Amino acid sequence: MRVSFDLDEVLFVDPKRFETEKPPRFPMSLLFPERLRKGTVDLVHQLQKEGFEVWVYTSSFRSESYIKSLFRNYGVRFDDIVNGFRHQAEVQRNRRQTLPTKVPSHYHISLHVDDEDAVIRNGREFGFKVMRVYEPDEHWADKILEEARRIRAREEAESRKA
Amino acid sequence: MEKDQLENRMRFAEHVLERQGAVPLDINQKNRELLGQRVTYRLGGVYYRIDHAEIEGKTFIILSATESKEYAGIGLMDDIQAISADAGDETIRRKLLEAMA
Repeated sequence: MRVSFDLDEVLFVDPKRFETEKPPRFPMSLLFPERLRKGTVDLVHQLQKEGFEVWVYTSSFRSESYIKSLFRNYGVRFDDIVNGFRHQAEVQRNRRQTLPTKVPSHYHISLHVDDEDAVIRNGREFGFKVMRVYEPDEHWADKILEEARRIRAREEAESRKA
Repeated sequence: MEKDQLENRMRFAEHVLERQGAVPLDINQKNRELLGQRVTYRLGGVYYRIDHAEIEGKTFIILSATESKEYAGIGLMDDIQAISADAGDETIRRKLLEAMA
């Protein structure tokens, strides 16, 4: 089962408002000024340990190389990354209708974690599950793990019936 | 670090890219002429460039990258690795390969 995360305001947070992971050593701390929400590293590792594929799905145009390099400094390796470029090329393509900035169901992502209201609404309209994370919450990682496990259990039960 | 020593180290870093199969491209001419940006390479679907930066009094070799052909063509790339310019050959090679993995 695939779980994806947005970056800005979800995994990348303002250190003035949120507890953050220890930044990488100089000079990488300057090359990668974004700070990770505390608990990100353990959460990604735990999800992967439990057999979930963990993706990034961001509407930003940060290059895949940049995102990979940033997280490598934290010992995190995502299973795949969808950025703004990839979304445009693979999801929006030449369609006349402007699709939402994220369509996780296109990539068979079962749970997407985001901060934006619009993504939650689009989830209802376009048929993909979104969990909202945006405020400081010391239990944010546990809640995501719990939701991922619940969805997986339900998907497995449904596939046994079929 | 002396200018020609730094040039030597950056040239070594470019040689590491070439040994991996990276191909030098004739793009981003404007910035190469105006700003002295170095040659852009392509390896797989990724464009790379070697640069340098002075950060807090220390010189670093910088590897920049982008997957966008358009951005590579105008020299707009993300810095993804910084290696001390006085590092040995093996360290430079290892850190470049690590960043490109």
